[in-house]
Amino acid sequence: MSRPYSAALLSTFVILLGSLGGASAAEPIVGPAAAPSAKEIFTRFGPALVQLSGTVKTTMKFSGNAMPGRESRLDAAGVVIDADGTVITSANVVDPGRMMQKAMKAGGSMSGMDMKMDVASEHSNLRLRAPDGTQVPAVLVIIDGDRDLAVLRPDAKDAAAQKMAGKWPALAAVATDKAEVLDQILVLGRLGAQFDRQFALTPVQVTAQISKPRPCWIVNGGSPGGVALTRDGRYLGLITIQLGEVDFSSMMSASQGMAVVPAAEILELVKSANAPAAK
Amino acid sequence: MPRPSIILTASATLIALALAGCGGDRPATGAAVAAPASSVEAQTVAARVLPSLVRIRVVGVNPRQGKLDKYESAGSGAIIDATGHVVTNHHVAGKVRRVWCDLSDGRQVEADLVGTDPLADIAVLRLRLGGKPVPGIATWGDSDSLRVGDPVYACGSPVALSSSVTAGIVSNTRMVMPDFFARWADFFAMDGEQVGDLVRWIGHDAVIFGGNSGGPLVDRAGKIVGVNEIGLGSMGGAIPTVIARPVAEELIRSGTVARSWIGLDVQPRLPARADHRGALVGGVTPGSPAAVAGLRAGDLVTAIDGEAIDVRSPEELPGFNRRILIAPIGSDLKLAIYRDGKELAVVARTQARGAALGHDDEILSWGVTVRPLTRLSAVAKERASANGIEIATVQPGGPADSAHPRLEAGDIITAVAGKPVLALKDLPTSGGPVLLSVERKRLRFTAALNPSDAEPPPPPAEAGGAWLGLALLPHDATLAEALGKGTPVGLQVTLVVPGSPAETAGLKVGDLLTHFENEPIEITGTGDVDRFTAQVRRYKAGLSVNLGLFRTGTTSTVAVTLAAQPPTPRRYRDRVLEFSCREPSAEERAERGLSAGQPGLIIEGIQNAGWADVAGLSEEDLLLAIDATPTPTVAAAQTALTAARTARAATVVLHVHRKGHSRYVTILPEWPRTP
Repeated sequence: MSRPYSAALLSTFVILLGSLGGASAAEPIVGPAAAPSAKEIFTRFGPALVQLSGTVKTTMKFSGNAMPGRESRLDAAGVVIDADGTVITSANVVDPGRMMQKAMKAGGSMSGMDMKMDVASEHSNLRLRAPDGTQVPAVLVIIDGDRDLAVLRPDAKDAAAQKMAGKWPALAAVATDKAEVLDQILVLGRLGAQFDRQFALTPVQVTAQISKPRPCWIVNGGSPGGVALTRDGRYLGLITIQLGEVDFSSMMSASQGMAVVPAAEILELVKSANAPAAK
Repeated sequence: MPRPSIILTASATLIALALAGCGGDRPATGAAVAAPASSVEAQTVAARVLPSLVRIRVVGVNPRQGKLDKYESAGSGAIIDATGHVVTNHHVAGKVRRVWCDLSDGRQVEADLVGTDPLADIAVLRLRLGGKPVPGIATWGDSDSLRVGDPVYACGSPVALSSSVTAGIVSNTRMVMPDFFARWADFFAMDGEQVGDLVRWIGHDAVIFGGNSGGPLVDRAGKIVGVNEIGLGSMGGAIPTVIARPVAEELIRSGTVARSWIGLDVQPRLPARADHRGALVGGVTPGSPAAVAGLRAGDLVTAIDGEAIDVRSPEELPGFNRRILIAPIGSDLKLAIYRDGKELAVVARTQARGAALGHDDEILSWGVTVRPLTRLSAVAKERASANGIEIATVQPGGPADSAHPRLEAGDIITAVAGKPVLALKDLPTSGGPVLLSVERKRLRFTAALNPSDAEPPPPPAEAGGAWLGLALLPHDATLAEALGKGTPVGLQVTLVVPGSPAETAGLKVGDLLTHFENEPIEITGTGDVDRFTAQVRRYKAGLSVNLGLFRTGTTSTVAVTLAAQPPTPRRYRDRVLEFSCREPSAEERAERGLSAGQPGLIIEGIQNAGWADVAGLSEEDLLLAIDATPTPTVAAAQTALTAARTARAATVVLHVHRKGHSRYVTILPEWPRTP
């Protein structure tokens, strides 16, 4: 269920599609005049969807006994939210061990035995890949495990990152749009490497609206790290995974839900990432 | 983590099962069975051998995911001369970063690897004796004089326990790997070598176990007749001294074992060729001495240098191989050939064989382990040249895995910016993008790689959220019922952090939290505390929340103003000593009874077989001081560890608190080479 554009005039999300050729950032685009086509969405929002790569080493301890660490390749998508290249994505995408840890904490028992599991992750070689293929080293600045959010930034010490500063094609959030239960929204993401990381747009429906303690919309689909948009093409927030309890006695079934974390919440996290303690 | 002794023990499981019922070649001759060992004889043997016995403790390396992963292992060995040479197995000490030996007189000394030979599974160490004498010297015996049934004694350190002697008899003088294990050849291979190509083990039933590897098998005179290598339960296998001794002596002499090669693949003759004796040529390496001499597949080699050859079974192959391997490099081998009903004579000039696989090394800035090609590894890859460096393992997501295009295990780097790669030093480890010429089987391509050896960044901050400052435990229905008096379920307060919002609101240990924001707190039996804590964390600091409270039979509601969570505890990871430490959280300080300003950092993230692990540092230890400098903060620990690194200190002594006691832990670091 989409709402007329006029009902969302307060929405002031803008898309800053900065030129990568060295020119200054493009003029902000303040929302579309009508429900955009998929092609228009890809053109408008696509450049802000960047690829993250790197190595994540996960070490696990079961009831205090450490298992050998395992390194895996990180290949994920994130959304650039300012021209300096600040990227927001799902914490579970950046740190897969976190989901396991959370599941175990939510309801970790196996065959009636209490099992304490600790998962630690170490990231290295993190890189952001700009739409023109430029790769710059990145640092993971802050993680909010409860809301499944992670903030990354280009490594300011790197020459290529310095060159890109102020020129990232960004989706700049300055306020929050609204959605209601049974609204249909769109999730913009990227497919895997086997599909050459093409853009994909998925319609999903808002199934619940959570207001306390922190606002979010529960939706019935989408992939974590994806961009949630209203039907008429305005930015709503980020798709995250909200993990429920896991019952290992019933074949590891997990109750997990996809949730859209509103942009205002994201901005708040980015703001805390800017605080001296998080740097 | 591979433990060589265990690996070999596992291998031996199969061997032992497979050889059940097989006999050696000598019992049929009716050789007299020696009298069983007496306890007096055993005592005499033990007195002769034990002084020379050493327990070996190693930190070894194995290539894995683009790095040389360390592992800790143990084995046995015997001192064979007054200068402190120790003979052991290659699989015990052939790939070591550090090695220590426990001597029979109680000394523990570090040792150096003199040389190693994976084909014979023999390695030689030299003890750093510092001018002091060895406690004993073992003497070599004659393995060729052994007969099935002879008493033998296995000496070593089973499961790394202190020196032991077990008695048994020779069960088999020529135990080999049967043909049907060929399908697991890669599993049995050691650095690409098949020990069974050269060695026929002495099978015996003196009990050995993991940790006995490398220990001597001695005869009733206390002389070494074998070096224990494989074993399970009552069945063991030792490398006979006829192989082990010359290899050890050559390793001492030159640090390596020179062997000959002519490029022949040989197998037992087929049943269909039972009409004529010889060793069947299965194949000839193109361009090899055998090929130059005109040998070809299907030939039968009937004699070498005039000595008749017949290979009817796998047991007879090691003898054939050995004949070629021990020939002087560059010598002419006269081979008698049977082909198409005719006898031919050819001469093949031997060449140096080299190792099956090159030595593993790591390039951290590439995220790879590499090994130079050898003649044999080049042949296995059907390459005419052994020039180039092979990528053995790749770090997922590392620079090589992110090269354009990605590099893979098995790729061969043949040139850098057009300049041929002949040795590891030809690979640049820093600077800008490196242009590589790469071979992948029959493919040839160019790749660009950006070396990066940046230290892993510190972990990201965790978003704070709200905080109460309580430690809690579930108070479930069973407990509530046992207490009676209408006690509800909830979460019992077990600790209140001084200065926290909970303390300010007047919460006390023993209180029972029953409601949060007027909703009952559910107790499901699992994850209750974490769920509650996460719920609180989602609130914003500064908000006031209502807690339902049960205290001494009375219920009440308390308003608590939530505070922001204290900052993520600071951490420091020492990459050389391979452990992390962090400042305890407010809850942890309260739990451990640490007063404000009292030093203590929590140890965590100890790398398996890292120097801190080897020293015995333990997770959850509380670090009090480093080299007598107190460590109240991570910064203080970092300063102390940096000072030790700058000074390249021989030892770093940590004072730690562990389970009610304190102790000193001495780390013996291996500092990185200075550029």
